[in-house]
Amino acid sequence: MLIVRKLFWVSLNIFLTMLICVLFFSGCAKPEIPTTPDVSKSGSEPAVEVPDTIKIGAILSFTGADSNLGAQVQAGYEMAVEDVNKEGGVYVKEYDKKIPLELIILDMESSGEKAIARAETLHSKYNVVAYLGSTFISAASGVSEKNQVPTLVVASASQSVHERGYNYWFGVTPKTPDIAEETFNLLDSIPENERPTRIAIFEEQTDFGIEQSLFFQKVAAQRGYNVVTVEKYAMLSKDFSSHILTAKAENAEIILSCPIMPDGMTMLRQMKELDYNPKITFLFRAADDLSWTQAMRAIGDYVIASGGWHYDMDYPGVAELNTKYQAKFGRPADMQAGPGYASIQVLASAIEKAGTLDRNEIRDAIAATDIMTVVGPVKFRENGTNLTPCNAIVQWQNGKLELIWPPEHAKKDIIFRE
Amino acid sequence: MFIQVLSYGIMIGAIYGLVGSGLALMFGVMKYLNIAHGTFIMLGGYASYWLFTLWGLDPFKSIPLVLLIMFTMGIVVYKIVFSPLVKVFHVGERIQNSMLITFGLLLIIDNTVTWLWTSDVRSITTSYTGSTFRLYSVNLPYNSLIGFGLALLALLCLHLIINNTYYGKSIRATTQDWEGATLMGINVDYTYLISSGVTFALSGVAGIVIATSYSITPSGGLEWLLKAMIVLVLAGEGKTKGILAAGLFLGVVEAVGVSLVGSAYREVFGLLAFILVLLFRPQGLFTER
Repeated sequence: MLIVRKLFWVSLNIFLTMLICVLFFSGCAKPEIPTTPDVSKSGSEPAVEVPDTIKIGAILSFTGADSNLGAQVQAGYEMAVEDVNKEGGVYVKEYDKKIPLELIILDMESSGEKAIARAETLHSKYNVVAYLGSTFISAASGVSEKNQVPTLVVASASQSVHERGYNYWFGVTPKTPDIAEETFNLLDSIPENERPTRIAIFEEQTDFGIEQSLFFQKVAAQRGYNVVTVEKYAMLSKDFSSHILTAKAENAEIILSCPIMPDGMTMLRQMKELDYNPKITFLFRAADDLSWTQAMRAIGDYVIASGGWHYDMDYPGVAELNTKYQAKFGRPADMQAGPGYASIQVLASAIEKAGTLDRNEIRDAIAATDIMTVVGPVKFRENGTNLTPCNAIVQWQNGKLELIWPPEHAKKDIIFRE
Repeated sequence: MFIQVLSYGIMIGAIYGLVGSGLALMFGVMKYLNIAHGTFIMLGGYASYWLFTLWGLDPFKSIPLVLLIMFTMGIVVYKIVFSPLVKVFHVGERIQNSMLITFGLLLIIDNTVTWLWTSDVRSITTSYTGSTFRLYSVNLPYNSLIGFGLALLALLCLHLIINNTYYGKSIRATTQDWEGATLMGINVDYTYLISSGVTFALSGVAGIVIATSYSITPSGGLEWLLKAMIVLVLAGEGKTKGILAAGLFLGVVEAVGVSLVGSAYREVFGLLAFILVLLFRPQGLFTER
């Protein structure tokens, strides 16, 4: 009897110990996430959880020196996302369904440091499948590589970023060598007896400004142009008189510069004040924005810009985009709206081709991109630059931004300032 | 060429003086360091820009209206934001708290302006923009000349008000010792209120000059705030009469630096002068101690 009682208590203890262990460990285990039964599939396989949206992180400037570009690019992104989502989203084979895109846009305040911080936030907090962005986002190229997030940039012309051996960095718009080549292609197209050849370069002391200036000088030397002076200046300068007077003294017929808009305005005003009228004034970047003519009026005429796109380009989808843009904002599509739109086209195509939301797979699909977009054909070199970027060059003529280059798309001829 | 570059230095120096005057007045009288000063300058520029764009009002003819708008804004901002700080007696604490509050104000206003009027770069281009008056071989732009004249006029008016009116006397007394001024029957709160209005009005004039000679953006005030701070330090605390001289000094130093070394180092020369003054004459160039 005693043995039976002992056995009973031992068995009870073992049972209770096991029960406690089971309850304890089941409590520690990761809670099971209830999954919605997949009605499209039959059988006993557990259904894969389908994300509600595909999160894309965009890093743009809405404040600071580059703020005028941020809004342009944002408009392009949003219109493209709207168009993709209207069709139900992007088809992802892994989930066998279309998933809508979700843009998460953060302001980098025209600061490289902020761009890095925003890239980290988009990765750690939102777990985005790709980064998009413009201008100062180039400061976050290392973050893109570290986090292995494929990145598509526009209005970020720095070539040097692409020479660092990064695998996740892709540029849709032209880079500094493309801009230099195309600028001199335009100059070469002018009949020889009318062609100005004496060039003054106003070089902004930023990585981009210096790089662009070096490519201008290189191509100018190759093509037989005479760079009479290279004048350096700091961003947000208030006085360009010494540069202008030097260029004037050197009898420069062409001004080549890539200032931000406030600097471009000051530069051009002071050129007029100092009675200096070179035949051709290239102010890439400053004069890209349609608000240039509102601010500068007649003084802003004949200035040449090159933002890499124009609403008169004869590519599929451009006319529709421009019509929608005009209806929404009451003005023709801004220069960076097209590249912004194209970025989403490239990304959506890559996600569909990858068939998954795995970032490495998407990266590989972007690298293999070969599609037609609103900025023309997009196909990337190994270093992530676009093989055939849209090299539109435009000129302000009577308050209107006219497409003067490339010849197959041009609607107007170049006009010299008298 | 040197004379031409120097003339630009003098003209921009006058603008620096104008930009610094509002900051100096507020800091001298109230001991508030207004981090949003540049933002209020931008608001003055926007007021003139919209009057010009919507109603075709010449920017310099819009000065009385802009002055009125900005003065009223100064009164409202003082009543809502600045007046609680009057209760802070310790000068150091007052400076710190005013910096924090005005930094918040800066963020709110910058974002509101971006939301209202977009982040587009704006500028006022009139029929006479780019036109110049030729003096011997030097071209003097009308815009800059008017800006120079306005800066002189505004600072002269400020000087006359401070030295020849009862309000000016109350400002001087409050600047020297606000507690003592209170004991002598001066209404310090009223003096602060009017000073806030005058500060904002001066910002408005600076905004007009900047919008006609350069450009304005919602966040473009920061660069002007930095210039104003340099001018404030160069002039010396509470020395509104030294402000124009300090501004001109900064403008000329920058211009001479450009002529010697090149424009890429323009800011370096200004900042170098700033550091040297801090090292050897921390009380400012125009203060006797």
